[in-house]
This record gives sequence, structure tokens and C-alpha cells, in this order.
Amino acid sequence: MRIGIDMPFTDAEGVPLDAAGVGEGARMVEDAGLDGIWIEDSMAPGHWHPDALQLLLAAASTTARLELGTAVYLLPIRNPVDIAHRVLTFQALSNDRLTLGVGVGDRPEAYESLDADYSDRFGTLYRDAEIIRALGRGETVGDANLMPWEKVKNSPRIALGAGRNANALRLAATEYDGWICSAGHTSLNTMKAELGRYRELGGKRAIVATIFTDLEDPRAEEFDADGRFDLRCPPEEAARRLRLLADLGFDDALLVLSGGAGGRHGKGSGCSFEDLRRIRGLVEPDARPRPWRV
Amino acid sequence: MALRVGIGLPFVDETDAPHDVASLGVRARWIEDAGFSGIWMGDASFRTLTTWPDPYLWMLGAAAATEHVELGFAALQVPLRHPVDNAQRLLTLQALSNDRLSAGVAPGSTELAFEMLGEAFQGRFKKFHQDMDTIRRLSRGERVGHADLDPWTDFRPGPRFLLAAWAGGKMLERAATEYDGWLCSAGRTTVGTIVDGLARYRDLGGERAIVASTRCDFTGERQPIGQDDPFNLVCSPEEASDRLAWLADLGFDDVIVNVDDGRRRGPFTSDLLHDRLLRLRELHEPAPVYRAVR
Repeated sequence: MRIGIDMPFTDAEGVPLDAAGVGEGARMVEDAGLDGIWIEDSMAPGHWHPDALQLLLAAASTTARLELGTAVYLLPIRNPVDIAHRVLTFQALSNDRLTLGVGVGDRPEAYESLDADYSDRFGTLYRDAEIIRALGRGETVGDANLMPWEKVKNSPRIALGAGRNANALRLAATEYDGWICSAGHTSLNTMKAELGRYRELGGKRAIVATIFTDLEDPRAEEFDADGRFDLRCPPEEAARRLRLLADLGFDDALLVLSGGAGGRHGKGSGCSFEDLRRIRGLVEPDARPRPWRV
Repeated sequence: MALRVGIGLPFVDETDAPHDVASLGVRARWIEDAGFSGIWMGDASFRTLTTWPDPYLWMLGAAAATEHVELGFAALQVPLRHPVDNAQRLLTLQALSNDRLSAGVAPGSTELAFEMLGEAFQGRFKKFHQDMDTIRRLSRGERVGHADLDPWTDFRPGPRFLLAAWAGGKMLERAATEYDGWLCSAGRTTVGTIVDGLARYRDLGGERAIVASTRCDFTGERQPIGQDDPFNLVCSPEEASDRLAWLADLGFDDVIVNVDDGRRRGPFTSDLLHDRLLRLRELHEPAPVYRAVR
């Protein structure tokens, strides 16, 4: 199973990282042998969150083989032609390392902030994803043709974030390049049941996102397969929990590192190279060919 | 009077393939290491003339590779994108670049770009002024409608804003009184017009004055430029030196130079153009990097 890291955007004191700081953290993730950096998109009022694609590009600037992903990008709140433009630019700059995880989010306020329609969010999401694919192939959609460079002239990899939504799970299996479920919003038993349906529908890549991780959490609780899935536990127990995911057949686990003072969820920022190596050691590295270019 | 010289950022290499973040970074460092004061980029997105990358991501690639040069847009077509989205992306770039961003802004002038994005071309001036008000307020940490970005305190009130304006219109007054500077296009006006425009701008109390879109190609002859010609450096190196000195004496603070044709191929598509860049550096000792005092 591959391990991706949810990249922090502040240091241990909560000071915003500049591009060099983000790049340094990304290089540590790569050097530690981990597989990818993933960043959430947010437009929740009253909570500063930087532009996810700019942060990812800062990570791309110092790395060569990491996958760079969004988990998830709130597609329906933005103009799909503009997003396609950004995605094609990112693919050119990163040499095709982007995996665009897309979803609808669960905050109506984000939609209100950008004058978008929350009630039709799923319909908008599916339509917009198709527009992005078509523009990526160099097709004309309405009045738009972005004339993508040959180097990036294909449909970007798009994974669909779908939690407890049967239609979304079906589409993830049949029309998208992967399925993203959120450990922070569900349990192991629920993820197991959904993964079974996803595989029955022919789904390929299965990604578990939002796995809150703190290997030194003094409040470690006994594992509950019907409770929220996390790695707030000692390393041996974390390794056992990750093996549970791998044995179920999940392809990727995306970890949100706790500790440090900064960032949303108090995540990430005080993480050292040794911490990342320890996380790498929790599960065997994945030897399969990667879905992205290295 | 000292004149800062900024350089337009390239898009493609000598094979017409787009740069990746590594090769873009090399070009950005060439500009910084050569002693130029800034790296600049326009926004001819969503047109059919050429494939144009997303300016935010392209500029972030330059930010990640440099430490002290100013990073500028000349100029963003503001009404094409949602103002809340624009504000989030501007604030992110400002933070990741350590406050090196100067955002030139404009209402846009290409109807097709508006059509591609489903925006109204006719109402673009009104939308531009409304959007800039929204962007500035959000950058100060204010709530606008449902949107509240709550940016990091260190990066309020947002980047420096420069207004792209014709020399004779009402927008010039706004540039002088409401913005941090005036962007004047050399490519789309004449020497006589920019002379008159600068005098009017100074009368209105305007401070920073920048000549943008200056073509540079040293294959031309030593021939004085006429009042009805667009200001350019398509001439012999000696003549280019005289023209830059003339611009400085006139009272302009900055000139933004596109070595070769920045619209089509961008500078530094080859070692030859790199040599031209260095030659330009020898012709004119640029003023130090711009640092705004808030």
C-alpha cells in the first residue's frame, strides 16, 4: 500500500511556510521513501486555507517522483474551464504528476462564498469533471478550447471523493480513475463494505484519505472497527491498523500528521525526517508500477 | 534617474515544449542572478492566439526558484475569475513568495476570453471595479457577503496592486489615486502617448510608473524611435541603451522587457537569447529590487 502525506502549510510555531519551506518539507517526504503529497481544498469562511494547487506546485519544485494530489478539490464551486486551465498548467510544470481528487465537500458556506449552487452540487461536479476531461483532450466545450500542449494533451487522472453515496461510488468505479473515501468521516467496517461494492462495480484504485496520525498520542484509544479510523496510537498498533487497510485491498493511505502547533487540525508542522521514516516503516513499500509518471 | 528592469517569464523551450518547474526555475534564476529587479508575466489566458499557462501557477514556479526579485503580473484579467477565488490565490502567492508579489490588474479586452468562461464582456469595467473592491476587502480580513478568507495577519492587506490603464482615460486617475502604480503598455501605444500619459499621471499625484510589454531584439539597426512608434528595444544594442536612458530621464520607474517575443515563445528559448539577456544587463545598470513601504 502506498502512503501519502497531507502537507502542512505552517511551521511548528504556526508561521506560514514560504515556497522554500513547503519545498523542503516535500523533499523530506520524498527522501523518506513515501509516495505522495496530498492537499485538501477549502473555502470555509473564517478559516484561512491557501490555494491547494499552488502549495502542491511548491512541493513539485523540489521533488521528482512524488505523486501530487488533491483530496479533495471542491470542483462545483469554481468555473470548470478555469480549473481545466490550472490542471493543464500544473501537469506541464509537474511532468504529469497530478492526481485531481474531486468532491463536493460538506460545507454549504463554501458554496455561498463563491455564489455556487449547493443543492445541485453532485450534478455540477459530474458535469464539470467531464468538461475538464474534454478540454484536457483538446476538445472544444461551448466557446472554450484551451489548446493544451502536446505534453499534457490527455485527460488528467481524476479520482472521485464519495462517502456513503451509492451513485457516486458507482461513478467512481466506472467513470473515474479512483475512489477516495475519508477515514475521518467513517469507520473501518463502513469502508470495508463500500470497498466491496466498489470492487464489484469494477473499481480500480481505492484511496483512504484523512487518516489522522499521531504515533505519540497519549490519549490513544482501543481500536473500534465501528468508530472513526485513525492512527492516533503507538507505532505497533498503527502498523497493525494499516495492515488491516492493506489486507482489505486499499491501494493508498493518506495520512494527516498531528503534532506541532500550526495548521488546521493542529496538523503536521513539527514533523521531522525521522518521524517520516518511522511512518514509512509502518507498512511495506508498494512495489507496483505507479499510476503517475516518475 | 534609476530605472528598474524586469523580464518577462518564458513559457516554452527551444523545441516549443512547455517548461517544467525545474527548467522554469533555471530561467527564473537566470533573471535573478543577472541582477534584474523583477520577473513579470501577462495574462493572455483563454484565447486562441497561443497556449497560455495559468499565471498564478507559472509565477509560483518562479517564486520557488528565487529569493529576492519582485514577482509581478502585467496584468491579470481580473473579471475572468471569481473575486473570492482571485483573492485566495493572490494571498497564497503573496505568502509563498514572502511578499514579493506586485499584482498588475486589468479589466481585460478580449471578448473571446469572456465567452470561454461564460462571463459578460460588456459589463467588464463595472465588474472589475467591484471585484477589486472585494479582493481588497477580503485581503484586509473583512467579510464580504458570505466570504471570509481570514488571511494570515502578516500578509494583510494583500499584495501591491498596479493598474493597467491607457494614458488618456479615466483609469489613469484611478491608477494615480487608488493603486500602488500604473502599468502602461509599450506594445499597444506610442512613444508620444506614454510621454503625455506620464506627465498626466504625475500631475494626478501618481507614484510608481511602469512601462510593460517592451519587445527586445538586438537584430535591429541604430535608428532613433519616432513619436508615433510603440516603445521597443528592437534595435541595435547601442540604440537600446539610449532608449532605456531616455525612459529613465523621462521619469519612468520600471520597464518590463520581453526578450524575443514574450507572447509567442518567451525569452531564453535558447542560449542565444540568454546571451541577449546578459547583453541587456550590460547595457543598463538596473536599480535595486522594488520594496514597497506600506
